[in-house]
Amino acid sequence: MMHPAQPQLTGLPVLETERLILRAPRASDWPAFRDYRLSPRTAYTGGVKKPHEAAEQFASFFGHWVLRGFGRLIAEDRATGQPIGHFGPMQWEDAGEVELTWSLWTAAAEGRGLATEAARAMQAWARDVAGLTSPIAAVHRDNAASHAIARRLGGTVIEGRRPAWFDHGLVYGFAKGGAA
Amino acid sequence: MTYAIAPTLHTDRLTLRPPQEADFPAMLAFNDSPRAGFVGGGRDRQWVWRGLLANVGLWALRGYGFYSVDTKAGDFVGRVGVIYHDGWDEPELAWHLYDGFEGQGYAAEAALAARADYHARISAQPPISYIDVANTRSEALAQRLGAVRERTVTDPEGDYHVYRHPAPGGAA
Repeated sequence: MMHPAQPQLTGLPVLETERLILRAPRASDWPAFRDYRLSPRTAYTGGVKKPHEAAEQFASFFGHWVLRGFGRLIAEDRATGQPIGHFGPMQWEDAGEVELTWSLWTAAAEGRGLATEAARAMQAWARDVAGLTSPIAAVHRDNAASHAIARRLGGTVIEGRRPAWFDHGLVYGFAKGGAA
Repeated sequence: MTYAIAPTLHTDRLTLRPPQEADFPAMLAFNDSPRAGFVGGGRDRQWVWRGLLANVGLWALRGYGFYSVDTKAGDFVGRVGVIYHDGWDEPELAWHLYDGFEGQGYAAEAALAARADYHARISAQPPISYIDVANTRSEALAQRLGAVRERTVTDPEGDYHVYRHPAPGGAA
């Protein structure tokens, strides 16, 4: 799908962590994102999509930055140079609460704390740079790894709340943007 | 942060302008109506929103996409522009009008402006238009725009005629 004449969305933040670089999405991330979005790894985030839906979601990352001034960055593994997932704050059309999100694209990237490392960096950026002081996170009931990340980021379950975009899950709140 | 957004184009009766968040309610109403049956309507609210974001994102990536079309009085009447989705053969000139704004030649007026703009800024290659074989009104519009039917394709969503627009400077 991606044949841009030139990169035309520039000036997004670049965040560096011990093992990762978080940088703007780019057209060359598309194959890795498509493979993720068409895989069973998406069971807790809306399920497997068709290729054109994956493409639409990928393009929406760029539009979110344009309309909101914040959004998802792509985490790149410093060791391999490969993109491993998307991380960052998002906000639905109802101008409601900002959600912190984290998604690792492959099983190979799991188990080393990379998602937490990336999510922490984005959490700090959202709070300290973007001024998004009271985000939430929506986590599917059965997504144990994601619940663990939410807790590590200082999230606490908001009793009685359910995610807006899937039926079974919990909503975490992050007071003052979460733990520093 | 810098990015490309749509230019603003003016025709006799219409303004073609960049998409904006305030377009969402009209997009959602169209999606939820039978009028969207030929162009993939009936999606979840969140996918309609994602579609708006994706259109903004594709403008930023490629420099073309759907314009939002307003009358001079400020009514948002529909979306027209060149779009290029994953899995498609080529960029497509596409159009849809919202309820109450058809029958006045708005789609043709906006499509001609969007097509000329695409050729002036992006490419001299004539775009195609995919038209559901049952969508006779849209097919008639393609013909009025000087497009010629090349073939008919089938995908899981249905059967579509592929119309080819004339080369820039050709009859319209």
